[in-house]
Amino acid sequence: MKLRSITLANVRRFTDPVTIGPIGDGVSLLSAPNEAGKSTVLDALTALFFSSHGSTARTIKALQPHSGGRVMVGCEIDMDGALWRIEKQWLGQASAKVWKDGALVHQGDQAEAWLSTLTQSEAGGIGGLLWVRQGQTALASDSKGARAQDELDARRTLLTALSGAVDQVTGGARMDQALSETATELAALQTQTGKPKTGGRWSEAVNDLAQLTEQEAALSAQVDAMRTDIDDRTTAKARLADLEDPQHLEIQKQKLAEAQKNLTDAQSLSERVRDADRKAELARSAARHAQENWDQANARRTDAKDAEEAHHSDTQALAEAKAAFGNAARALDAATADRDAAKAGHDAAEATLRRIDRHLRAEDAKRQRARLTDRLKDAEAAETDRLAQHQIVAMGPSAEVTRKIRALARNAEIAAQAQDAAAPRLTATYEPDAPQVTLAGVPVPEGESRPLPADGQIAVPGIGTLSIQTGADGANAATETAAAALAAELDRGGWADLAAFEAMVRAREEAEANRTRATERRDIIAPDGIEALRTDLAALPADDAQVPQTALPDRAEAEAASTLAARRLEKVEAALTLARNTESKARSDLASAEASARASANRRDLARQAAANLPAEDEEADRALADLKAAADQAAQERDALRATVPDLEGLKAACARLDGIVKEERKEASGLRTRIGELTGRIETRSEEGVEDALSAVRDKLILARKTCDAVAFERDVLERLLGALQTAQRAARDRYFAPIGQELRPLLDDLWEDAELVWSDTTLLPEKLVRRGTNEPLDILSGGTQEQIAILVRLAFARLLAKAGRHAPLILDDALVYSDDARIEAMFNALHRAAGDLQILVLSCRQRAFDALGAPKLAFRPAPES
Amino acid sequence: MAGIRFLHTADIHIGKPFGNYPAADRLRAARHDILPRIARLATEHGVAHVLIAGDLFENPNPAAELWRQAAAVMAEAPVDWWLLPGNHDNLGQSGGTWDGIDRLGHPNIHILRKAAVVAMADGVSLLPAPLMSRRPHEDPTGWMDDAVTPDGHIRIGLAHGSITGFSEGEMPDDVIAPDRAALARLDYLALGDWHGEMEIGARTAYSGAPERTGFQHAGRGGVSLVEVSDAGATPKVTRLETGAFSWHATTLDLVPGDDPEAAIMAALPDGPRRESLVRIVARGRLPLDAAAVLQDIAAAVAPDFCHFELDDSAVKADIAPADLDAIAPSGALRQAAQDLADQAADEERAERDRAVARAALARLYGATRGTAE
Repeated sequence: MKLRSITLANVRRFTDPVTIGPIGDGVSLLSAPNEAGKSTVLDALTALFFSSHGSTARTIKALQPHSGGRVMVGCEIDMDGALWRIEKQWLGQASAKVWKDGALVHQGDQAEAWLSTLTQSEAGGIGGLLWVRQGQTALASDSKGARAQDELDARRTLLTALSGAVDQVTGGARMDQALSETATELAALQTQTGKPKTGGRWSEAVNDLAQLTEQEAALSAQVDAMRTDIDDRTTAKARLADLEDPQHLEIQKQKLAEAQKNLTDAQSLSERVRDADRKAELARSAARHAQENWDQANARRTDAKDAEEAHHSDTQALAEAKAAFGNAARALDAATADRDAAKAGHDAAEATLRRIDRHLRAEDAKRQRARLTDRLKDAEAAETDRLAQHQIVAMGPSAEVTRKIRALARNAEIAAQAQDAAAPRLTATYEPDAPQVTLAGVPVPEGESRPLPADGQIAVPGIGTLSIQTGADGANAATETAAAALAAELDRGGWADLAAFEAMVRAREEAEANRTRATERRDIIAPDGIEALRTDLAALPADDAQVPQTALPDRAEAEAASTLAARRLEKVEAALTLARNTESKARSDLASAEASARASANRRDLARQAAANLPAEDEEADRALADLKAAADQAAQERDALRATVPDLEGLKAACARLDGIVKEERKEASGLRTRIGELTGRIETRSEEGVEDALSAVRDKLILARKTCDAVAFERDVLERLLGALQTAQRAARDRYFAPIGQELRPLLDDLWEDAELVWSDTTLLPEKLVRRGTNEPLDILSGGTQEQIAILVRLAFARLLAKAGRHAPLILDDALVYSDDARIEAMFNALHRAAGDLQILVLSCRQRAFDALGAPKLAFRPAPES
Repeated sequence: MAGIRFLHTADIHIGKPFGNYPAADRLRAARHDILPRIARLATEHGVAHVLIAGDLFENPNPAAELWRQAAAVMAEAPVDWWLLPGNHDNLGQSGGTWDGIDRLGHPNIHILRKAAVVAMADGVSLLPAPLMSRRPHEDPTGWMDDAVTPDGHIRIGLAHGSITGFSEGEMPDDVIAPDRAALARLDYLALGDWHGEMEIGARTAYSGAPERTGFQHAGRGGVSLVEVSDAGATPKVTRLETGAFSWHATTLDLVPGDDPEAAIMAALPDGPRRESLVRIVARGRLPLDAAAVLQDIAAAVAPDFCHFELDDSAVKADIAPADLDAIAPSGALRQAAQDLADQAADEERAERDRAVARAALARLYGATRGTAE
């Protein structure tokens, strides 16, 4: 079906009949300003196809103009090779008529039935599917109820024809039920993130298992503790039985008694040993004292002898020290005298050398003074000359005056030359020996041309005087003016004439040269200035008259004598130092010898005194000492013999203590064991009576069941997940297959607008529900208005193409359908419209006249309808 | 000499929790009820002695109420109880249970703490082999060979442990010499530890547990009535059923074409179902619909029994195109079913992974049954 024309009469603003057409294939544009009636066209078409001619519904009344009256809408369609005309009237003389190729074929209800068949099979769905109203961006049309269902059916019919029934492909209600049940059961077990859901069977099984595991661990610990206690008690009981064994106790008692008796015996014997020890100690002490006395007397006698010998030796050493000191003192005196003599000689030589040097410096100063005095004189003379020349320079004409006067002179000369050149000339040719004539008193030589002055006289010897009046006043006046200016300037400087002036100029120039020369001479003689020369002169020694100029040796000779005296002085100084050291050491040795002598005298005196009262050295004393020693040895032998019979007392004590300790420790241990056994028994009985082992067995049994349950639920969860995954995967694949044809039509259209974009389809509405751009899912209702309207149009274009491929052409009508799109997108959409157009019929209604010029489509317009 | 008649039992395991059975309370209660039942049997059969060959208690230190109640029951019965500590209630780990029973001072309760001859009755010597640990590694009956008893005395051995491979798992295998009765000149060696009744020889036998403890031993538990007429005479052993619960474990090998309902019904035991515990392990292959029937039948009969469990994890799904057609002949649902079937058949996947796929497919089959278009 293709629309060829539309006619409206008494429809809203069109009170007079208007028609649009002819409408061709491809894209056509009806561009008109707002309220020109574009939307009225779509409303009228909708009424024509979908509202019965008897309807007085609000939508029909809305088509009536303010003035009222019956509403008429008609159109021509090209279908099945014939031209059909459909026309309806509402709200007065209602009618419906259908013509085929000009012949009325249906009217009234028959016409409505024909239209109903047409719309139900195609146009009903097509209208909603392909007609986009002004401001409609959603994919679903704004139709409701039966119309909406018709539109859905139309899409379903189209896609089913291409891909098969959607239910058959995607599983339909059975698939939905299986998916729903599986998802519900899975959701009862786990959360969306795959964790056990609180309150669900899986969660309960996991929690039960965890609780039982925890209980099992706690009970195991209690059972282990109880069994450890039982083992400990068994061990403790066995040990206690050993400790309390009567035979063991009797043996222990006997051992202790025996050890105590041995200790008592040993202690008695030990007392006797201590007595013998005391006796032996007394004897040993007496012998030791006697020996000490004997040794002391011997030592004192030896000491007295040693002191005598030492004192004698010290006395000799003192005498030697005194002699050495005397020699050293004398040597020091001699060395001191030598040093003094050498020093005097050296001082004299140095004095002579200094006098010679003073004399030499005085001579040098005298020479310098003479030179400086001469330079000063020359410099002062040059300065005097320079000042004189400077004065001359100052008196001469200045350079400016010179330039001025010379310019004036030049002017005067030029004026004179001009006058001269302009003046009549006089050339004399003389007869041989004829006297020369004079012009203005100047003889005129033969053949020489002379200018005649304006007012002059020629003296002709012999003849008289010729007065000249040339009458050349102009040249003469210039000459005179120049000459007057020159004369006035010369007069201002006081120069009589130009020659006097030039003489003064030369004198000045000469004085300037002289002044330069005088300055150069002065600067050469005194480069640092005359004052510097005077200062240098004043710095010279004032008077050298006192320097002796006679009886002084040659300086080299004096210098040699000084060097010789210095060497000698150095030598005697060394000798003096040596002598001093020797004398100092001899003095020190003498003091030491004196101190030693005094000390040894004292020691000798003391030793004599100590030795004075000593007993005599004789055999009786030796015998008494030997007897005492023998008595001490005897006592020691007797003691040692007794000690050898005493047993190891400490060992016996240790044995007693050990046995006593064992008894006490065992009693203590037995007491502790009884307490320990009581404690263990208490704990064991408590746990035993609580039945911890039974509880542990019960928990372990429950654990087995809980693990089985947990495994079973986990298995069930895996099964549900597997099933859900399989169902979803299959459904996705089926949906993809179902929507593949429309997707293929859309692909190039989407590419015109976006890179890497595709649409996700709803198998409920059979319309896109998401736009996927570069992998990101965007629900359509969150997209911008522009994007939504672009998708709405592209989808309709794709459906229209699918219909066309199925041989069911239907017009696509877009009523201001691109209101939100920007300029770039509009152009892209225009491209898409033209790409999709082919043999489709696309009718674009727009109020944006200028913007839609770029659509490049044939333009339609309202025009008065021809009389029918 | 009049000989002797006594009841031989063992492995009562008072205090066993049965925590992995939903009917644990009933199973635990049954263990308490077994002693009065044995006492009544003794009275009925006119015997004066009951020998318990170990493991009267589940643990060495049961809760006080357990051993006190057990002692009270035994004390009231007009028989002598000869109690041998087994491995579960061994002496070494006992903190006070046996001492506690002793302290109660009941003259008819004899706790056999030592491996020493005990005068059991006139002309009868009892040779007990108490255990000191949970896992003894030496034959506790070894001492019996050299045990001296008065001439002409009947020698009754009483021991707990495995012999010729009969072990409940905790005891080391073959601790007790199989020819101990002959070596020690025993007229009868009463054994415990194996929970099923088992005659090892003419003079050696396990009585089994009087109340079963698991599916390993089918049917009901019982005790042995032993009669020894004289020293050297062959004992006469009579089995007396005592168990309140009957235990049954069955394995079903299924192949496509089998009727799962018939198979299950045939495997169910006779007798009162409320006192029966059933475990059915199904193996083999079944189509999806038959596998679903198997589960449905199991779910239907399970409430009749004290305990019923079906383990069909070893049943492989025999997936036929018709099964997949039943889910959906085409479309996405069919594709999902096909994917799961392929995963279940993929030999390169781990067994659990394949089992998950099989179960998912079975679930899908169940979910879509009855919703076919």
